[in-house]
Amino acid sequence: MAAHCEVELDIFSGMPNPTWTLTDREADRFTQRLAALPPAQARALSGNLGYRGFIVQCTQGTDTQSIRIQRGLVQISKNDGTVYAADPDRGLERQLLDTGKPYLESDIVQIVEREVR
Amino acid sequence: MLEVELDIFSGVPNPTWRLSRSDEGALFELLRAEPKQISKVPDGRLGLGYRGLIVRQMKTDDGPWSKATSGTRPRLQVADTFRVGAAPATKESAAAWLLKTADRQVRGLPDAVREVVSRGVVSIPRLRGPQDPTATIDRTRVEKAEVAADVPYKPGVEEHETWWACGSNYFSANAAFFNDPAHVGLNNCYCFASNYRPDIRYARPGVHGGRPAAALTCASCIDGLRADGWQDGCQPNGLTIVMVMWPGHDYHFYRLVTGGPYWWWGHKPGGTPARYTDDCGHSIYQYQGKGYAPNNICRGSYTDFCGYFYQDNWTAFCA
Repeated sequence: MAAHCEVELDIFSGMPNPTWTLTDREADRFTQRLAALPPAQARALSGNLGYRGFIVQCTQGTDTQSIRIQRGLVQISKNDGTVYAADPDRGLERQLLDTGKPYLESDIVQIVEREVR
Repeated sequence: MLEVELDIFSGVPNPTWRLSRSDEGALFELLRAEPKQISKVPDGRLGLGYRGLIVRQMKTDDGPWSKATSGTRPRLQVADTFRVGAAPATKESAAAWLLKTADRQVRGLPDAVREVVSRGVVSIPRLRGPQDPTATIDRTRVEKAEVAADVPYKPGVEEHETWWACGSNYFSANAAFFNDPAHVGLNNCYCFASNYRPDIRYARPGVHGGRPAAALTCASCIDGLRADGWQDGCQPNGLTIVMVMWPGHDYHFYRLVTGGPYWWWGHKPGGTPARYTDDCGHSIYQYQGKGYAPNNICRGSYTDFCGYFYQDNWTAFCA
């Protein structure tokens, strides 16, 4: 069964963050890449102004996981707890940004591209 | 025998390689010429990304490094494990030279890693001094940044910039209330500024008052604030806030949370925790006109300063 994933670009303070839904293929690629990440030590996420990464909610059958990705650190929360993974080359963030390009204004894309190079 | 580790990753192992004897000798000469390039290995100031290189003496031998750094009269005083690259070099950089040795030993570094390294070492801005209004402030160490007019009614100050002289404000340094885990992700900057926690994720100026801001500009959002009851001048027993704008994209707010002598401000970037510090490590307080306030802190893309606004209320409705 394909995962259903909603993506939120966490970037604004007052206005709603941009959100979009991954296609089945994009969701599969995302969950596969997520599953292949090595574990990482827990670390607090930053609450800075501006780009703060991505928040992804994925549902597959009865399983739901909430994933926060910020500057190479991945926080995965499920019913049974929270784990952390590492994505040092920021591939997951770039992949998510690619899926969001049809929905994002070009200057926002540029800002995030600079952050995730 | 020296091993070099490129300190760059957070979860996966860092690339490592051994130095040849001739490389050991060359490294020694570089560091002897400028020993202050050497720094300690645990360094809490370094952030995610490139953090320099860690050099370890795996064992003593008859190579040039061991000969030069051991014995009763070492030619260079250095620990068995040390870092280069975090402290700047004014002469030839040992870190830059070590990175070249990686090419010979590690089948080259991936382009993505090189690109990160090229951006330089990542340092977390050190939070200087007190970080919230409960802390004790050393008045002799308040930063000299200019906050605003340092005396009330200074000539040239715009009439509405009198937040320090309102004489009747409502103050509440209540970041903890908004940071309750059950609520922190459900309220944005405008709700914190309004001192109201309705748990609607995206409050927007003007929605409550029936005139939602139509554009993300100071003028349009100010109109929304006025619809919500915010005024340009001091209000009795009221809230004091600042609005700033990322033009065309977003707004952000700060709320004055204590009175004099330190006048702390707080803010809540989106669904993240409310705090009293900016993104450059500044605590947002001032003393006698020196220090930090929303007009001179780091605000990233929120470049437009829309002004100060007041409401005669302990809680203003953001929704």
